[in-house]
Amino acid sequence: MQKASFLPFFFIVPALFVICLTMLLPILLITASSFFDVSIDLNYRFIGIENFIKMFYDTKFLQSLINSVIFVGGSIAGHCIFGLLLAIALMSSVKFREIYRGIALIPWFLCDIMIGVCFIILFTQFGVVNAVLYSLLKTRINWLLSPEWAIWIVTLANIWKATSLYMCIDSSGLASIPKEIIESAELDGAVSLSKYRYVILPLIKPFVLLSLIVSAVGTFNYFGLILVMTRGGPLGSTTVPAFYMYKQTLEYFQIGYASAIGVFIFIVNMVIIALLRRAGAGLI
Amino acid sequence: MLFINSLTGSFNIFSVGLHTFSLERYFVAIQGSGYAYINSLLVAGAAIGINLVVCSLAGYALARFRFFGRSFFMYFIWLTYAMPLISAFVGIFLLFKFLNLLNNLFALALVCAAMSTPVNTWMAIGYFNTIPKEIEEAALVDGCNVLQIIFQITLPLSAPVLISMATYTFFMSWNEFIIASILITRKELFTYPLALLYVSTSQIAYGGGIVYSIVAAGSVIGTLPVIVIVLFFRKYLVLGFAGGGYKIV
Repeated sequence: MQKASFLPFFFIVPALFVICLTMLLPILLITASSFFDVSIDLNYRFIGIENFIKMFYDTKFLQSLINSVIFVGGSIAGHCIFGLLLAIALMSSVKFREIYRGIALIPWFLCDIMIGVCFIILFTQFGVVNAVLYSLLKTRINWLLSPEWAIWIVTLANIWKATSLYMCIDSSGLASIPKEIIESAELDGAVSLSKYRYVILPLIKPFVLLSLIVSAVGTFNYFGLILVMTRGGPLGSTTVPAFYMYKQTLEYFQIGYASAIGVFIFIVNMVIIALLRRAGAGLI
Repeated sequence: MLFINSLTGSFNIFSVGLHTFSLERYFVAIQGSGYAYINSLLVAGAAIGINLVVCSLAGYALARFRFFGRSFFMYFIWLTYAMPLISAFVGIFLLFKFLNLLNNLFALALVCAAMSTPVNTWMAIGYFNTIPKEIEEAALVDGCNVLQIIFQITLPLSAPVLISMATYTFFMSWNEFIIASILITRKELFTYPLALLYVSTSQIAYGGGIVYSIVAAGSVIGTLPVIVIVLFFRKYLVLGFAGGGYKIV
């Protein structure tokens, strides 16, 4: 490696500038403005931690926390499990692997609006799913307008959208396992199920952990599908904290309050990452 | 399930409770939002341009030099990847409002570039690590300075990862509509997803609400560039993801 004194810093500076502008500065601004009561034309007055106190007494916010447990938990489970299954399934069939991978990657590249509209059309009162349900059970459920089911549909849409990303992560993990290990396990008499359980799964734990972290934090921060599909949902049942923040900013114009929620989301992100890394370090 | 879901998007232009086959909805969608196609392309193009330069420089520095704070930078980049701060959009809104850059397409391109910078830098580092250093050392012996080495030797050799970065940035900026909906409020500057929403919510004839069939028609149009690019550059995308070195946990 070459040892130059300041040149690499010059190379890094543009990337750092871009990242800091759109990540660090907004975080600082949010933290600052969460202590103020900011209106839409940037008039502010200092109110201390009143925003945070208001946050913890707000029933809608507390409900959004519960919703986020379902949304994020379900998404994590779906992403990691299905991503792993897809990666393992694609590992064996070498012939059409590239084509399958290309097709599997498509949902992730679709716009949020498209996916939202797709799922809305599938799950409306007279949509496909209800048609099947009616022929089997003689009932129709209005999925997206019922407070119990809406959150699950949104979770399903999120799982469908992003699973391919985690499949890619797990695929690269599976590809990094040297073939000799698998062959020696087979020589020692490992049948397919125990082969997976005792050899492959432990070896890809870092990648599964990475999937967990990325999925958890990414889903917690994400509200695009909710915005398109239910806009907060029937009786606030699909509101997650990030979407509640969006609503506060653009509908109620309570930028200070929204900033407080943003600070909360940021802290939860860091806690999630720290916890998962701690748990993962114990496992690896 | 993947097949069915991706096909219903196209089928719904034909019949959603109205049972009429017609391409009329396509025309309505194009009429209402065609101009936004160009806006989206501009934003995506600018974001790709920024990202290619910025990320390959940063990737080169992180892959080839050993300097104080290198591991900190790499961890920082990993952190910004693992923690997508889309929910910091209020901060972005405040920042750009304060800088008076609200209805500026270039500002949007900058934000879109920034969102894909971590992954792109990662891809670049992974790829540059596979280029043998002997080539660059030979060039150094022949008297090139660092910039010449980068632009005349390393980058021409990195065509695959440059294509990966370009396609990834393209997707990130084409599909990004949350940040776009905050930063851009003037109708003629809408990007494609925003214009689509606007067109479909302004169809008063259907009694308000979102007219799903028009959105579906427009979505099919909007997906076309994505599908084209995915078909042609599939190999590079997977290469970018797999070679990016996901072992940094």
